Amino acid sequence: MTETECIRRAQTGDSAAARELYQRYAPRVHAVVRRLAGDDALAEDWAQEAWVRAFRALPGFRGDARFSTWLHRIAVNSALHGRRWRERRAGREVDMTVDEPASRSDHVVLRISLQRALDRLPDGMRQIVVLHDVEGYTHEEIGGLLGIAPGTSKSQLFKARARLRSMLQSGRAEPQKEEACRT
Amino acid sequence: MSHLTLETIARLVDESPTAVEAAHLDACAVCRAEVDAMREDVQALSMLPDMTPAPDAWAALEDRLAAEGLVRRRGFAIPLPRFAWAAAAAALFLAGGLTGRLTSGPVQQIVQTPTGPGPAAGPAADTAERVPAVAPQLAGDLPVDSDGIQAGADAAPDRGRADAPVYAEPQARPAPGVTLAGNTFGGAQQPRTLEEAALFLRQTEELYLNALTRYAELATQAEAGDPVSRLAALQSIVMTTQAALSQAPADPVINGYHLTALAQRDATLRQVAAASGDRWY
Repeated sequence: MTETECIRRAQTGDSAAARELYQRYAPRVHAVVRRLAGDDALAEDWAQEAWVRAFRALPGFRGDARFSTWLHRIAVNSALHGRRWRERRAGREVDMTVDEPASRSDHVVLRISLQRALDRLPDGMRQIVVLHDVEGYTHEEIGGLLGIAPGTSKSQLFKARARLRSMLQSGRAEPQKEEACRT
Repeated sequence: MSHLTLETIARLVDESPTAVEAAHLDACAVCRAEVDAMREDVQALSMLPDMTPAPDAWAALEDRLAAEGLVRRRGFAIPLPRFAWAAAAAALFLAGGLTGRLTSGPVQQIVQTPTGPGPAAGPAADTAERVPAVAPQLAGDLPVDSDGIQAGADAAPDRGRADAPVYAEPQARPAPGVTLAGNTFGGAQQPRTLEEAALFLRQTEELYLNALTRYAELATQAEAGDPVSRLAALQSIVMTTQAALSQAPADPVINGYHLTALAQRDATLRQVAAASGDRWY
């Protein structure tokens, strides 16, 4: 079944077509939501919410944009909405503890270490790193999504990268020597 | 010499250095290495792989989409948790079997024939006592407990209607009042292997579909039938859903059936009482 046919059938409520769409894009949706969430349990909830929103909106999808782009934007919005909702409910910041040292011996280890470090970034920093460095959003787009100035997005990104780098270097809870080192 | 800050180094991944920063980088191998390492981090971030969601994520999502009416399932292949299929199939099968019997003559006579003077004389007699009294005869003279749940009853296959769905004879007794007819793994026997569980699922699904079809037929009949027959049919459905709820108290589908049947039964009772003019209270 082509993607267009799949979408057309899913728009009419065909469960098999909906499932095929899901299977095609679930890893992508789950990845972006998981990284924005920083937590597996939250990611499951938010990914499901993203898909429900997508299927609610699907009858209005006319193919002006690529389906993957359209869906990706919904997933990002759902995750950001989920985060705002969670903050309102709990008002807490993500724990910064890093419990395992990171290694840079190869790319696989680096990816794992990066993912762990990402999970331990504060929510605001993590979402900017994920949107910019992982998902390729511009600072203008991020500013629009988060309701902040592009310059704020940029400065937060640099702080977040610095913190990630410190975590990868030290494997400890707090960034090391960030203040002591330099200029 | 003081080094560049990590934030500066992070910026240099995206932007060109100022003259001062460029001069520092020319002279400082440590900071050059830091910039390279930061670039490697950012590149690795951009190449992070997709992630596979949990295997049961689609099932949970499909449940939600179906509940919202966003997708239609094919063949009612609803992925109920564990063996909720068995309870649903058994409940609806029993509804079909019992209600099928009551539409076949004798039950109707029992319900419609006054048994004597006093509160229980008319068709609209004592609702608190008369309906349970009818129930054993609906279900083959089997005892009914205080909640109207038929104790230890095998389902009565529909022998009274030539056009009724054909069910196999009962083979096991999963729970009081609930029988899985024609099911290899009904009752105390539980599937022990994946293959057995899959077979069990297919069997119960088939039963469920048959029972659902029968339910729809009976519901249509109940709408059109005389009030007393409808009352008897609804009472048997109430008994069945009660029995099913004892197995799956939180099941929303069975609860929905139960509440609907209760409401319809009570409404029909009021209708019968009003029509007879012989109030028992």
